[in-house]
Amino acid sequence: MTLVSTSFALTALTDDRRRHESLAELFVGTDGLGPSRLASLVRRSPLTISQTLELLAGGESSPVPTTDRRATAWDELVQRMRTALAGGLPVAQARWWLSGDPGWDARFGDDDDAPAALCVVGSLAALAGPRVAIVGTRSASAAGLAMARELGFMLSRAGISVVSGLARGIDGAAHRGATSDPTASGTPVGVLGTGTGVAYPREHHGLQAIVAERGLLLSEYDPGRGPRPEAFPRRNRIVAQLAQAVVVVESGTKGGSLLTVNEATLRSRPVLAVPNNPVVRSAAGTNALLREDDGAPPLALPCHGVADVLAVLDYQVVVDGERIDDRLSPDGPTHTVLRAIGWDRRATSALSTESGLSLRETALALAWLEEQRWIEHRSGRWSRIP
Amino acid sequence: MAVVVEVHASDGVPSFTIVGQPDGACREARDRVRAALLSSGYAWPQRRLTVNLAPASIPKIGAGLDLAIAIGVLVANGQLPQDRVTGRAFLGELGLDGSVRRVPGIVSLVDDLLAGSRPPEVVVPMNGMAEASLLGRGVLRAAVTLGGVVNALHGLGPWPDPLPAAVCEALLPTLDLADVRGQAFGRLALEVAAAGGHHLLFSGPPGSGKTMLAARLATVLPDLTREEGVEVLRIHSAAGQPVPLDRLPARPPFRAPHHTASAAALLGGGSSSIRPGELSCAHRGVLFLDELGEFAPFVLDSLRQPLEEGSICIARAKATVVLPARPLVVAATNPCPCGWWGVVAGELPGAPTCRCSDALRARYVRRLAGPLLDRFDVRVLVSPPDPDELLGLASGESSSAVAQRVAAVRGVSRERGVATNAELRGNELRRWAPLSGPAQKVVESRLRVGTLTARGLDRIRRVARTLADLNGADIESPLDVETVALALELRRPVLPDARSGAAA
Repeated sequence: MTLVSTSFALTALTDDRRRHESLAELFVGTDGLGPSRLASLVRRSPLTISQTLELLAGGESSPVPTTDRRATAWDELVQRMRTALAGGLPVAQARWWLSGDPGWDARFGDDDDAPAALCVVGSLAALAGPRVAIVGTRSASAAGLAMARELGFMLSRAGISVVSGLARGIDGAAHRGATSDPTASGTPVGVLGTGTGVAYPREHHGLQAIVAERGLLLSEYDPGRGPRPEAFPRRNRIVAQLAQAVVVVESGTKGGSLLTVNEATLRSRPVLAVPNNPVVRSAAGTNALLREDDGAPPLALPCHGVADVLAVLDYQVVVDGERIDDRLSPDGPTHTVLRAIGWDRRATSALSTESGLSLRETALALAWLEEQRWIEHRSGRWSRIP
Repeated sequence: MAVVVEVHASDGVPSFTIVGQPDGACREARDRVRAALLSSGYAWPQRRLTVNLAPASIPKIGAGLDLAIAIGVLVANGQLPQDRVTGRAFLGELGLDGSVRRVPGIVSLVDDLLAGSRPPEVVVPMNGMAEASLLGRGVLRAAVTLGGVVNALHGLGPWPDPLPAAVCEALLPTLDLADVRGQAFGRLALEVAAAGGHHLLFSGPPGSGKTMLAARLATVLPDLTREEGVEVLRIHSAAGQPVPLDRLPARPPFRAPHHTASAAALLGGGSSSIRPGELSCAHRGVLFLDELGEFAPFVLDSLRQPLEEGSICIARAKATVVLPARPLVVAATNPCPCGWWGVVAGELPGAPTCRCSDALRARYVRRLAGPLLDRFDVRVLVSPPDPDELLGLASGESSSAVAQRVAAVRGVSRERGVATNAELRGNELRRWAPLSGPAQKVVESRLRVGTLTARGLDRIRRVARTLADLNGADIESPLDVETVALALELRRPVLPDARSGAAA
C-alpha cells in the first residue's frame, strides 16, 4: 500500500505528541486495519509514523483501497480521526511508544516485522537491562510450573527482566516467580495479546497489575481490545524481538511457544529448553527441541537451571542460592506429607496411604501446609508451591 | 379426602349419568357398575339415575369409587336399606363379574378416611387389606365380590376373614460395604454422610469405585421407624410401586434414576393424577444420581429447592400437591467427559490421558457448577484402589458395623433436637458445635484469606460435628483442630475449575 499523494504539510500541531498517540490508537482500533497495517504503511513510507498519521487525518492523501471492505475501513478511520480532531482534545486512553521514539531503534532497529507503535503501561526503563523470555504451554505439569516460577524468581533476582506473555500456565508462573520478591532488581515485562486494559485469562488480572506497577506492559492493540486468536502469534513475535534469549520451560508438539522459538531463531536469539521426562505429554515439544534431527543440531540448548541461562547471556552475576522464604519449615508429619506430595499432583487419600498417617493426621498436616503456602489445592489434588 | 357418592333415581327415560368431574376411568364406572350388578344377580333399575360425586369442585380420578357407586345404586333402587350403609366407606374397583379389585394408593386413601373424629368402617378390597391394615387402626372389612359385600351388609353372611397375605420377602440386601477394599477416604465420607445426613458427591476417573461406594450408602443407614415406614409406604403405594404387603418397609428406600430422567420423573408430576417422582420415592432413604454431569442441567437445578425444603410442591392446572422429599442425596461424576482429567501416573499406572478440550471440560463442569453443587456438604475425590489393597485378603468393615456407629450418631443428633447434624442451623451450631482454640485459628486464617466463606464455615462445622460424634466425642464438646482439618478435607472442590478448565 502506498500513499497516493506525496505532498504534505506539517501543521502546528505536529509537536503535539498526545495527538499523534490518539491517531495511532484510532488507527490500531479500526476494524479491518489494525497494528499490522499500520506497521506496513510506516515501513514502506519514507515518512515517520507521526507524519503518516497527520497526512491521513488531514485527508490530503488516502491509500489505494484494494477491496471494498478496506475502503470502508479507511473511510471509517478518516471519519473517526476527523471527529476526534474536531473535538480538539486527544482521545488516546493510553500512552503509546511510537516507532522512532527514544529507545525504539535499539529494540526493534531494522527488524522486518517490527511493530509501528506499542501501547505502554509502566516504565520503559524495564527494557534497558538484560531481558530473557520465559514461555511455555498453558496446561503445564506441576513440575513445569514450579520450574517456570523458580526461573522467573532467580532471573529477576539476578537483575534480568523476565519477558513473557501473561498467559495461563508457564507464562503466568514465570511472572509470579519474577514478582514474588519485591526487592528483586529485574523488572517484569509482559507482552499482551489483548489491549492493556484487558486481562486474559481473567484470573491474571492481579498479576498483570503487579507487572504494570513494577515493570512494563506492552501491547500492539488498542487498550480495550479483547482476546482474538490471531493476536497471540503476533504477540509471540514481539516477545522474541524484545528478549535476548528465550527459555521454553514446557511445550507440547504444537503451540504458541514453538512460534516464539521460530521467531527467536529467525533473529538468531539463543533458545533454551528445559528437558523433561518423555512420558509427560505436555513436554514433548521441548524434548524435541533438544534432540538432534537427522544430523542437524538441536534447535535449543538444555536449560537445567538459571546458571545455563546466565551462561548463554554471558552475563556474569553472582546468584546467591538462598531464597527469601518466610514460610515455616515443615517437620514431623507435615514434612512426611510434603515429601509424599513431591512435585506431583496428589489426592488426599493417596497421601494418607503413602505417608502411613491416619486421615485425621494427614488432614491436619495438609491444613498447616496450606496455611504456610507450601501447597495448594486444585480440583481434588494437592500440589507443592515452589 | 373422602368423596360422598349420592345417587338420585327418578322417573323418566332410563339413563345413567355421573357428575362431579369424573375422569375417563371414573366415567367408565357406568358400564362396570351396571355389568357387575347384573352379573351379581341384581336388577338394574329402569329409571333415570344421576350419580353425584361430592364435592363437585374437585376432579375424581380412577376406578376406586366403583364399589361405592354400585352400593349407592342398590340403595337408591331400594335393594339395600339406607341404614346399612351409614357410617361405612367403600373402596374398590369392580370387575364385570362383580369382583372387587385393588386400587393404587390404598394406604393414603384409608389413612385419610380414618383421620376424622368419627372414622367410618372402611370396606377395602381383599387384596388391599394387608396394605391398609399396616396402618394399624380403624375397622376394616374385606371385600371379595359385590354380592358378598351386599350380603354382609344385609347381615345374611359374615365379612370374609382377610386371607393370609402373600408374603413378599423384601430382597435381602445383597450389597455390603465389606465388598469395598481399601478406599479409606471414600468409606469415611460415606459414613459421615450417613451419620450426619450430609449430601455426598464422589468425583473420580472411571473404574475408581464411585458407584460401588455410593450404591452402599443405604446399607449403612439405620432402620426406618414406624412413622417413617408409614410415610414411605404411602408414597410408594401412591406411586404404584410394588410394596411389601405383609409389613411396613423396614429399610430405607434406595432410588437410582437414570441420567436421562425428566424433571417430571424426578420431581413428580402428571397431568391428571399426580404421581410422586424419584425424589419423593427416595424420601427417608437414598437418592443416587450416578453420572451427575450427564443429567439435564435444568433438571439438576430443579432439585435444589425441594432438597432445601424437604418437600416438593407440584402444581398442575387441575391440582396442587405437596409431597415429602427428604432423601439423602449421593452423586457420582467424572471430572470431565472422558473421565481421566487430572489423573497422574503415580495414581494409576497406564491411565489414559484426558484429551477433552479446555472448552469441552469447562462446559461439562459448568453444567454441574452452581447452586446444586453447593448442597453437597461432603465432596471426595475417589482414586482407583491400590492394587495391594485390592488383592489383599482383608475385606473392609461390614455395613452392619458401620450402621451401628451411624445409628449412635443419629441418636446423639436427636438429643440435640434435630434428626441429623445436617439440620443444625445458626444458633444451634453455636451451641452444639463450638470450635476449640486451635481449630478457631485454622478457620480464622482461611476466612481472612478468603478461601472459606461464612456459609462454608457453617457447613464445615456441621460435618466436623458429625466427625466428632463418630469419634465418640461429648455431645457439646468443642471441635478439635484435627476434626476441623478433616472436615475441610472432606469439602474440597473436586472438579476442574469451571472458569478455565485448565490443568494449572
